[in-house]
Order: sequence, then C-alpha cells, then structure tokens
Amino acid sequence: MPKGASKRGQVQMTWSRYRKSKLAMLGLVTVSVLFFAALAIPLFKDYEMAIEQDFSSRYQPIGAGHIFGTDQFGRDIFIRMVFGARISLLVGIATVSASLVAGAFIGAAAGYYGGRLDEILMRIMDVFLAIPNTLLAISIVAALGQGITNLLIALAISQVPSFARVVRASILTVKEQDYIEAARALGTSNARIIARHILPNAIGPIIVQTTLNVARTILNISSLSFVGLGISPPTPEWGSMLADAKPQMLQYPHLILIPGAAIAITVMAINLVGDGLRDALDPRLRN
Amino acid sequence: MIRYIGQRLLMMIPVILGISFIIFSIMNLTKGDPARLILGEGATLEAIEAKREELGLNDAFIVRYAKYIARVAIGDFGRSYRTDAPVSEEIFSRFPTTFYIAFLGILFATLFAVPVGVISAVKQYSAIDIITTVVAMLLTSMPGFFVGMLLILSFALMLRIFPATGIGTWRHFILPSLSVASVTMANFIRMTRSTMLEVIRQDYVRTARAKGASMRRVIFTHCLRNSLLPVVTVVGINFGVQLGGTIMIEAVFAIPGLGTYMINAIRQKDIPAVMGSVIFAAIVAGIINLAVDILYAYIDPRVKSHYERFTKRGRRNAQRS
Amino acid sequence: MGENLLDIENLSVIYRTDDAYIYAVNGVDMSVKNGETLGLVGETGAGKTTAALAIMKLLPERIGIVKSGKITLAGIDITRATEHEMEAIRGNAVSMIFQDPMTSLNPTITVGRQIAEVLQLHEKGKSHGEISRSVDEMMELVGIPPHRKNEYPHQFSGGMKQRIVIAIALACKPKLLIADEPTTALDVTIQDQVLEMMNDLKERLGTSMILITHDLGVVAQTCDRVSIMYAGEIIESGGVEEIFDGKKRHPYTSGLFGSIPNIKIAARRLNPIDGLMPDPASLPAGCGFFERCPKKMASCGQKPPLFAARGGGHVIRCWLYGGDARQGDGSWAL
Repeated sequence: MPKGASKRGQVQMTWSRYRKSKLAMLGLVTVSVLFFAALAIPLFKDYEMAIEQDFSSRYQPIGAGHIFGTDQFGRDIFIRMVFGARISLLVGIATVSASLVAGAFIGAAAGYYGGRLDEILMRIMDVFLAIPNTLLAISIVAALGQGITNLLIALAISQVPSFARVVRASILTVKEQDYIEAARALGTSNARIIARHILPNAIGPIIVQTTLNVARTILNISSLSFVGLGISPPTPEWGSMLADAKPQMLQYPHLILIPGAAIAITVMAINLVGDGLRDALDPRLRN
Repeated sequence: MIRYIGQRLLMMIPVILGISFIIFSIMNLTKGDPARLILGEGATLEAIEAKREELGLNDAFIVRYAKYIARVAIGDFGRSYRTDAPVSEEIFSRFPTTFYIAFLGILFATLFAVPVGVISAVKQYSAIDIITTVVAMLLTSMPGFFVGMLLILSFALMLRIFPATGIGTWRHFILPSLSVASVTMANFIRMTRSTMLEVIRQDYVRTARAKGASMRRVIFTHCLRNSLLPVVTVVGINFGVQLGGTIMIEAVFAIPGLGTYMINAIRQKDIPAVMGSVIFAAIVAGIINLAVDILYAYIDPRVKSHYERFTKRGRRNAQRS
Repeated sequence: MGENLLDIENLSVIYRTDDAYIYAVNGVDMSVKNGETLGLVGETGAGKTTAALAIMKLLPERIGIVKSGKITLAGIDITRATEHEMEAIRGNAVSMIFQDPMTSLNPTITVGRQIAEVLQLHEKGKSHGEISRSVDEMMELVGIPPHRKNEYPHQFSGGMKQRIVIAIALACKPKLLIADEPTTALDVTIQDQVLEMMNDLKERLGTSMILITHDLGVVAQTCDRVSIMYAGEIIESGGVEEIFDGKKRHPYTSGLFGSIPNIKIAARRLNPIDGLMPDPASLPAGCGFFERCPKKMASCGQKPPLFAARGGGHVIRCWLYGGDARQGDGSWAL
C-alpha cells in the first residue's frame, strides 16, 4: 500500500485484528496504566519524597499509610516505584529511539545501495552482534563512566545492529516491488525513494522490533543498575532497589518482590503489545 | 567435513579481530590511566611514567593494538594489571565454574522446554498450550537476577535446602543453574512450539498420516527431527553466550566465575583481563556455534550435502546462498 | 449399491475460520465401483481436495468439519470410524497421493524407510527381511533402482519423488487410490510417464482410483467416469464417452471444454469462462454458476437446480434439462 489514501484503512484493519487478541489488549491496557502512573503521579508528588530518608519510619509494612510500605531508609516504596517507572520507561524509549534512528540509517543504506557498502556495514554489524548485549553495554558504561546519559549511550549502541538488520531485511523485500521501479523510472531521487516509499512500507517489522527492544532495554537497565553499573542509588531505579534490598530480603521480602514484580509486569506488558502488533500487522506470521 | 571445519575456524579470525578491536578501543580511548590505577594515588610521576613505559602505554593506539594481537596469536594474553598474574591462568581457573553453571542451566532448560514446547504445539489452543505460552511470556519478562533472588529467598533462606551463595559442593550449583535455565527456557519453549507448529503443517506429515501412522508416531518419527534444527541453533547460541559469563547470575550468587571476573576487570580498567576474557568468550561461542552446525549435518542430510558443496565452491558463494 | 467400493451420500464439509464459515463441499454424492477410475474435475477451490480429505478423514483438525453425509468404503462407515480404526484403513484400504511431490516426502528420512514405514504399519507379521524385499519390489515397480533406497529425497528429481510417493501409496495394495493432481507439479514431459505408470499399476493391482484433476486431457486418457465439481457441488456426472461426446452438457462443462486448446478447430483464441466462482463463505441462493452462465434463465438465480437424468448414469444439475432424477426411494439415480 504505497499511498496515503489506503493507509488509514490499513491502520484500521491492523487495529481490528489487534483488538481480537485478549492478551495483546491486556498488554496495551497495562502499558497505558503504567505510562499514566509514571507521567501523571509525579505531577502531584515531589521527587524529594522518593529520595529523602526518614529513619523514624523504616520498614513500614504494606498498609494504609504507605500502600507498598517503606524501605530501609524510610522512603515510601510506592512513590519510588512510580519514579522508577518514569526512569525505566523514559530511558527505555529514549535509548530505543536513538538506536532506531542510527540502525534505520545504517540498515537503509546497506539494504538500498547493496553491493560493497552493504557487505562492509553488515560485517561490522555482525561483529557487534557477536558480542553479548550486556557485555558490550557494560564495557561501554565502564569506559564512559556511570550516569544516565552514558547508560543511554551504551544501551543504544548495543541495540543498533538489531535494528540495522530488521530495516535492511524489510528494505530488501520491498526494494524489488514494481512501484519502486516505477518511482525510479520517473527520476525520483534515492533519498526520496527511501524516505517516501520504502520506509513507510517497511514500518511493520520495525514497529514490532522497536516494541520488543523497549522491553529488553528495560530489562538491561535494571540488570546494569543491579550490578552497580547503571543508575546508582539513591535514584529510585528498580534494579538498584533490588540490589539494595538483597541483604534484608528474608526479613522484608516485599522490598524485593515489589520492584521485581514491577520489572516483570512492565516488560511482559510491552512484550504482549509487541507480539500482538506482530500478529496484527502480518497475520501470516501467526501460529 | 574436516575441510569445512577448518574453513569455519579460519572464518572466526576476522570476527575475533573485530570484537577485540572494538573492546580495545572502548577500554583505551577513554579517560583513566591504568598506570595510575595500578600504582595507586600516592605514586610519583616518575614511577607512573616508568610504569607507562613498561606497559607500552606510550605507543600510539594502533601500535599497541597490533602488539597485543601479535602476543595473543602466540597464546600470551598478558598479565592482569590488578593481580599481576597471567590472564590466561586466571581465566582457566574460573572457566570450569562458569561452564558447570551454564551447562547445567542449558541442560535443565532443554530437558524441560522441548517436551513442553512439543505438547504445547500438538495441543494448540488447549489449556496446556495457553498456560505454557503465558508462563513462557512471564519467564522472558523476568530478569535472571530477580529469579535468582527469588530462588535464594525460597530455597536457601526459607527452606534451607540449598546454599545461598558461593561455590563448593554440587548443591551450590543447583540454584544458579536454575536461574540460567529460567532465563533461557522461555526462549527454547517458544522456539520448539513455533517450529513444531510449522512442521506439523508440512505435506510430508499429511503423507505420513495418509499411510495410517498415528499422530503420536508421526510426531516422534517425522516431526521431532525436523523441528529440532532451529531449536538446536537457539540452544547453541544461548550456551555460547552463557559460557562467556553468566554475569548477573554470578553476581547474585557471589560466584567467582568468568562473569564476576569480567565485571571486576571492567570496573577497574584492567585492560589485559578484559581483553583476555572477551576474546576467550568469543572463541568459546564460535566453537559452540561450529559444533551446532556440525550437529546439523547429522540431523538433516540436506545440510550435510550443502557443507560438502560449501568446501568446493569456497566461502563467498556459500555465504550468499 | 453392493458392487460399489466407495459410496458417498450427501457429504457436506465446512471450514470454520476466525471470521467465517466456508462451505467447501455441499451435498455431494459420489460412488466408485471396484476397479473403476473416477475423474473428479473442477477448478481450484471447487472442493475436490476437501472431498478427498473427508474420505481419508484427514481434514484439518478443528477447522474442517463434516456437517452431514455418509461415506462407506468397502462396507465400513468412515464417518463413524474412530481415529484408531482409521489408522488401520489409511494406507491399507485407501491411499492418497498429494499434489506436490517436492514436499510430500520427509527430507530427513531415506526413501527406503519411508516406503517401509507403511508396510510396517499394516503388515505387522512381516519380518525385517521380508519388508526390505517388498520395498525393493515396490521401487522396481515404479521404475527406481532399489539400490537407491538409502538415499534421501533431495537426491531425487521431482518425477522420481512422485514415483516414490506412488510406491508408498500402493505398497499395501489398497482397494482405492486417491490421486490429487498427481502430475500438476511435474514437467510436462514427465507427466505422461507418471500417469501411464499409475494407470498400469492400478490395472495390475486391481485398484480403484479417484483422479482429481483440472486437466480434461488426463481424464480422457485414464478415467471411466467423470464427476464435475463446481462451488462444492457435483454439477454433472457420467461416463467419459457421454461427457466427451458433448451433445448435452452442463453449461459449465461446455465452458471447460471451450477453454482447452483444440488444434482441429483453427480457433484464434481459447474461450475461458468469464468471471469467478462464488465466494464459498457466502454461496448464492440459486444455481452456483448463475453469475457466469451464458445460458442462464431468470429462475436460475432463485432455486438451486436438481439433477436431470440423461440415461446411462449421466446426470446434469441444471434447469436447462429440468427434471428431478430422484428415484422412488429418494436417492439419486447416479
């Protein structure tokens, strides 16, 4: 469907297929709730509440005063979870957007021009792919130093190859279609063909990969923070909250169960959306 | 076949060069002077300068990389900046621990995932299938270190069946392996299920059914073998990755394996240790992948004849096809 | 009816998908006598393969459903047979050859073992050596040197693969062989060889056959009787001579003949049938061919036509020939 006229129909069809999957809808609702909580609640609550220590109210149980209780420094866990969600979602999305742009650029160039350029770019991507994701991210963080920006850069670099591959593969399949030939015959420039004709048609697999990568990035953020190479305390990050709570987990299991569940639910909801989108965008891939 | 293996081993060299170059650049082109790190804050400028000279840090970046690779080529990975012990010795003393955990973990995962994936595919849309799909989804969404913590909490701290941290007896390896298994298992289940679903719809399955074979027989004699190929790949890749250090899980269980070694080395800018372990991990992963490809030939005769052609036509053609 | 090997009465099959019911086979009656070859002709999507799969009881699970009808094969009511009973029937009393030999064989098992499997399943008393000898015999019968039995399917050409598929199908000397477009996927030069070999083997083993095809040339060459299917129904049925002599035919059958190139008539062009088959998810109320029929009458669109008997077992389902070929007991005079 190269033209905008039929695009609306395509979106509607995708949505009507997406709606049919209960799991995908559950994922979408959960993701929406998480986003709402992560973006709206911080408007009413001060960030200081997530940081400031209050030793008079340590280890409060789950209950009326504090929905999820308080941690070893007397901080309200619910507030910390909400700010943690904001960090995870924002860093996750920013990371994936950055690597998407870089990956799309590399993949589009490789797929569209082909030949030697394709060979060189893809060999480089293969080498990056051969390094385990976490290991690459850890070494970049170690080299650049800790901090949210550096974490973002490290995670973004480690995801570029997967996007480059998906974009290249989609472009290779679209490239040979007749309407691209037609556009080329009309003298349309290469950049314009890529931007106007090829990318919009390769968008399906890219959307799916983007969603799944956001989920994976959120897992990676928490993993790196857990080993002390990501976002460090007192910033309320789920992975570092788990690391902090580890010594007291027998006495206060809710200190690990709540952040752990938050990671699992967020990642799972995003994965459900990704799987649902994949099925809805390309019904042939469905099992 | 032997020529094929030889060619594949040669093809690993550029990949390892690429990986080592990337890591070497990351470790070297950033702030922080290893000489100062070794000697500590109190060292004199002269001592630091002497150390820099000794370590060859005053050479140009590319010269240093070339020298390093030349030494690696003859099996010398250098000495650790922190402990001054040969990096290869340190790696080899830690590798068995990581190997046991990774191997047991992958074994548990495979033994559990393949039957579950097959049942789930054969009984598609049944309650078992739906439960399996949801559980697999949940497992992929849980960070491995969190699973590890849950296992420690329940089996070590509450039930006191297994030790919580460290290594020693076989009991120490159970919980870490289960954590590795939980991370990889979901992937294996999904892979087994989806390839099995694909294989069940093949024409030759219908042919076998038309012969009068029962569904059970068809699954065992016709489908399993054909659906194994992609599963073997995923298992192989995951095993290779885990051998490179089950980083987060070793951190949770305080296990002195390759993963903890690597993390400490990275944190302290111990370049020879980082480089050595990364190259080692890449070689191990490459060998595992090769072993998987050889295993293919025994599962699928088409692949075997492809390999035989591969050596004749040379590398470039085979890569294209 | 006693002499019939296969009797199908009023068979209807639907496919249930996410969005719709697809009416693939609608009230089909069919019969095959011992030793006879029945040609089942029609365009893609007419329901030929579905009818065949219903006989094998191999319709896709949960999706393909037999809504009504009775299938009797050699005195056994297949529609009531359990899965276990069917396993003893398939490959033994009835075999099926599928369209594409490229994908019909398991790529990871040697062809010899694939032929042996059907013998192991049905001739349980046989020793290993006896089965091995039968495999050699079957391979020789289909013209493949038995020493190649340890090779894998990818080492054979398409025509040879189809020969192996035929060897599997005939290994247990079934009473009925269903061949679903067995030569469509093959090169034209090979098609004749394979067809001739099938015909020859069928004669020798005394097997009845249902040959599914859209090629009327193949029908003329091999079949005794023909049933023409359209939109899930049989619209004409009769001996090959009656259908081919062309005096009285269903307009659709005439259309089929019109779309074969004929070198005797110096026609400039073929006459394909205009239009498409009705959507099987929403079949029209009247005759299924109404939209495309060159001889349609106003009433054709309102009521489905009934069979008109033309004598000698030749029946046509068309209002042009009026009548009701129903016999006194309500069954069709087929």
